[in-house]
Amino acid sequence: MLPVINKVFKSKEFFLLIFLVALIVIVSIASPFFLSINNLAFIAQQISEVGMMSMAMMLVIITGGIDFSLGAIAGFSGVVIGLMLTSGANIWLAAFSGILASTLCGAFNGYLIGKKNISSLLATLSTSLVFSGIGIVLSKGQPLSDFPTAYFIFGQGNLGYVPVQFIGFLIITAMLSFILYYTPWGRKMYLIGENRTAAAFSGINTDKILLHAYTIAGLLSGITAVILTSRLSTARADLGNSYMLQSLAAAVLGGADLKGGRGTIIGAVIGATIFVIINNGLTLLNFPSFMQVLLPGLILIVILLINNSAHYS
Amino acid sequence: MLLEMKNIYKRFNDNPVLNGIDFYLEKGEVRALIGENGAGKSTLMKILLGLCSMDNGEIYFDGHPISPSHYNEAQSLGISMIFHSISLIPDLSVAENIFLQREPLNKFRAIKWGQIYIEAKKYLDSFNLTINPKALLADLPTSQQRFVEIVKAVSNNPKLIILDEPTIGFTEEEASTFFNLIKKIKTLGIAIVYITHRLEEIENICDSISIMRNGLIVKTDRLSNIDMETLIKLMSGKTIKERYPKLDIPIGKEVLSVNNLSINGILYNINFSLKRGEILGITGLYGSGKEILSEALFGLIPIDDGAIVLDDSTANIHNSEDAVSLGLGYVAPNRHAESLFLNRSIAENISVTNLEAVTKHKLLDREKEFHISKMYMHKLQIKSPTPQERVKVLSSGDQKKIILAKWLHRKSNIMIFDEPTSGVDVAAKIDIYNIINELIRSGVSIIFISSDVQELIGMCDRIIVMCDGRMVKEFYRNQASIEGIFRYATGNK
Amino acid sequence: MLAAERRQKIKEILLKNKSIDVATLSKMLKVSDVTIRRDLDTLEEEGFLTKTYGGAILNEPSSEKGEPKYESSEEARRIGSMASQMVKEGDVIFLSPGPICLEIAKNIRDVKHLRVITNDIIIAYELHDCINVKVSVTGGDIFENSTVLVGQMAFNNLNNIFINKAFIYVNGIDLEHGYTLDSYEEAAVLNLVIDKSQESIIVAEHDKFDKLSFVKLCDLTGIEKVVSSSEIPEEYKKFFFENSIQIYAAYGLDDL
Repeated sequence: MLPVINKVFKSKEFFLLIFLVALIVIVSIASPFFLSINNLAFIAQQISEVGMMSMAMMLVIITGGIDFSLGAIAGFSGVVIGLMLTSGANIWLAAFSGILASTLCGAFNGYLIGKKNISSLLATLSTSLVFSGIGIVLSKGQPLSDFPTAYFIFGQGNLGYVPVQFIGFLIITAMLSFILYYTPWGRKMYLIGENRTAAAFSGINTDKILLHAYTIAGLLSGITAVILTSRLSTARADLGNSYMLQSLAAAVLGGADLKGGRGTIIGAVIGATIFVIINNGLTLLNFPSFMQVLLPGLILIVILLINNSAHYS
Repeated sequence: MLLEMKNIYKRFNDNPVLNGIDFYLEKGEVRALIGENGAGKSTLMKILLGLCSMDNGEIYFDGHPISPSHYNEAQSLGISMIFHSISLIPDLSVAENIFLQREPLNKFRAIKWGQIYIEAKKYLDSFNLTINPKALLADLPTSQQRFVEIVKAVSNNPKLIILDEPTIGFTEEEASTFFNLIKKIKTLGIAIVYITHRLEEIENICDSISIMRNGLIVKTDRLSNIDMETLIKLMSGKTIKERYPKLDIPIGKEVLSVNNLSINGILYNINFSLKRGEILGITGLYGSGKEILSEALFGLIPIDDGAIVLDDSTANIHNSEDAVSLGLGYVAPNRHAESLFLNRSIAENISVTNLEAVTKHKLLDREKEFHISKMYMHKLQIKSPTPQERVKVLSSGDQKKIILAKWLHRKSNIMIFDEPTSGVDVAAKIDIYNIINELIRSGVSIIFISSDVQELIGMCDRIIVMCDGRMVKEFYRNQASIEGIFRYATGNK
Repeated sequence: MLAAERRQKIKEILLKNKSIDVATLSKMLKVSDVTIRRDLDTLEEEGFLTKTYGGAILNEPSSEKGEPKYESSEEARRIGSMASQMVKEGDVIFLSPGPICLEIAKNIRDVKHLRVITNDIIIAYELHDCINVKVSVTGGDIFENSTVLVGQMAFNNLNNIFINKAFIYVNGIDLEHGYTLDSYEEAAVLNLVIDKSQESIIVAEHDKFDKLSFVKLCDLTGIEKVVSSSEIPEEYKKFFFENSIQIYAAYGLDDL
């Protein structure tokens, strides 16, 4: 039966979308608050953050790697923003600095993995410690707050009923999806993930493209940091940690294959959305908090099993 | 004339094996008898030895007509043969074997061991063989058993000894001892017919050659009058070069020059040039550096010294992207890991070398990609219903064609083919040679790396031999020979 | 009806019926015989038809009086192009009848000091106005309304010449039965050519493989070079290689 499903729906993403819709239906039936505007807005905020990180992770996984430092980069970036804000810097300058910092972190990862050929696992585990460390040192281990209220626009502002960051998120999603699917650069990402050696033997500058991938992942983490620190009006070096594994789980749920060469941005976003809604549903329905860890995990395993058996067709 | 075999005919059932053979031998002459399997060499010798009857013909030995009907008869006439398998008694000692059944030597009675051993030792010494006459034959290595056999044959004072592939399984050292043995035997005035496949051995010991083909002696001549190339040609009727579809096209100016290229510890001072339309072969044994050279040219390995000059300007090649944009293409040797994206479609595998060519307004145009791929599939006869098919499911021959297609798509000026026909069947080999021909016709220059020396001689205009990371010799096509190339490739000059 | 209209009508009728007589035309178009005959004159001048006694017949393209020609397929062009690569300055070559050799002829117009001998009038005509190339025809009898010369006269002329390379077009190629041709007369001429040539080269399209025609020219092993296209059956590629026959299989990649 399962191979039939796969053939009929042709792509993992479609299957996931169905699952997502079913999930939404279930939750909205189970809780009347689910579809309230406030809740939806909250969900949109969550998706912007988790989704952004998941996209970053998906990008890296497509190239055949993994990035364990994304959380640390977000945290470090947040610290940079916090420091700038608390020293009176203009909100745009602060945001820009944070994003610049995260981008440089990503570039550093990209250098180690692309040019120096270190495995992405080892490189990013190491850099996650480095970035965290720097973040802790700079923030002296303390949370930073008292941000100018103008700063809240990034994470708490609304355009009508829609959170500002969600609009930004949608734009970035669209752009990244488009680029990955429609440009030669995007194609090279997939090919490198599929077979790095063959890519090099085909005239692709694999070092350069990998550098790009990790740099962008860093960039996206920085954007997430801006949104996060703005929403919570706090910056801490460890703020990104919870997003680390979530983004990985969401990407895998969304169709990422750790061997590389597979997965889409849309898939990552749907994966992220599924997890956000599950968490949201569990909270609304007053499930004990351990369920918020257990249930997403179980769902991930089920999805992986389904994917795996379909994979062998 | 010691031996005259005239007009020998022999048929086995309907199969004519000997079709009027004329075979002559002088006293003390060492004649190599060569020919492909089934040419009739063994049959001819068997007739001479009385092991086989002839349908027609005459044999004269030492001036007298003979028609031996038993091996013993031939032996008593003075004709001896060393067969393929050792025909001695393993349980007896060397000396006993040598003097076994020796009516003529009846001064030895079985009891007089001492004398047997002394005489045997004398024989062995006279041939410079350090073999213990008391040693059990079975305890000796095969080569030494062979020597004993020959000593035994010689001790019978034959006039003619026939040797059939005697050095099979010998090491170089043993072969050397063997050759000295034969030379010694020559000095005794014994004629030898030496049946062998090994052309190198002929050079060492024989005076003359008879070449047999399809039941006839097609040539008999002094060795000094025949060269290797002619020898091979006479044996099989054709030269190597003639089976490969070499296309002669006018060769243009220099397109690539490699100057003093070195990689520390791997390549030393590599210098060569390549002209437009030329096929330059590069060969060498494993470890010679030829594999590294191609990857260095293609930017996959950094070079420590030297320069690559393309079209008169020094090229800065730091990665494969640089190499490709400067007009180089590389058809890698290993089919999968280095060249194909197995889980991607045929179209994606072909377009990768030139994604710009499948774009419209800088964006990927998958329909264009589809059509271009379909065209390559059609031209190269890649059997698959659609370019969307994953490369994984194709046959290995078709996969190889995909690799070719992707470089055709790039339209590189200089293509490096690295072992293009290894692991490929004959029909596919022909296809590859012909595709290479098409490429040179359109002005592409080829570097052809291969360990198939025949292929190189057949298809290349020039051949470079590498050994231990250095270029040791450059041959033009008409100078190249299998022996010559091997000699340089193994480091013996 | 105007004259032009009427002539158009006559054309349509002829295209359908291939031939028609004046009486029928005049009845159909309701005009006099004389008028029809005048129309037919005009149409004959145009080259559309040929007047016959009492009527007219349609001029089919092949019955046009003009240059005779072969229909060259893309494959013939490809093979001809490849084979022409083998023609060198100063060569004396023989081109046998057929579309592939015609393509060879088209491709060798610029080769210097070239002498071409052929027994096909079309090929001779193709090269007749070429400055570099000296063309000779073998002479002989025209064979069965074709453009091919055969017979004793051809033999006589061929006997006295020497040829570097002969390009021989065959109708059938078979592993067991060798190269075969459609007619005894053509085979006889080509046999002599092969004898007189230093080197013979078989040219054929891929659909000639595994085909048997009427007269045997020689065994496959009798000729050392073959030029055909990439689509030939695999067992032939194998056979040629193993028997030291050079097989050139044109791919036609130049238009990629």
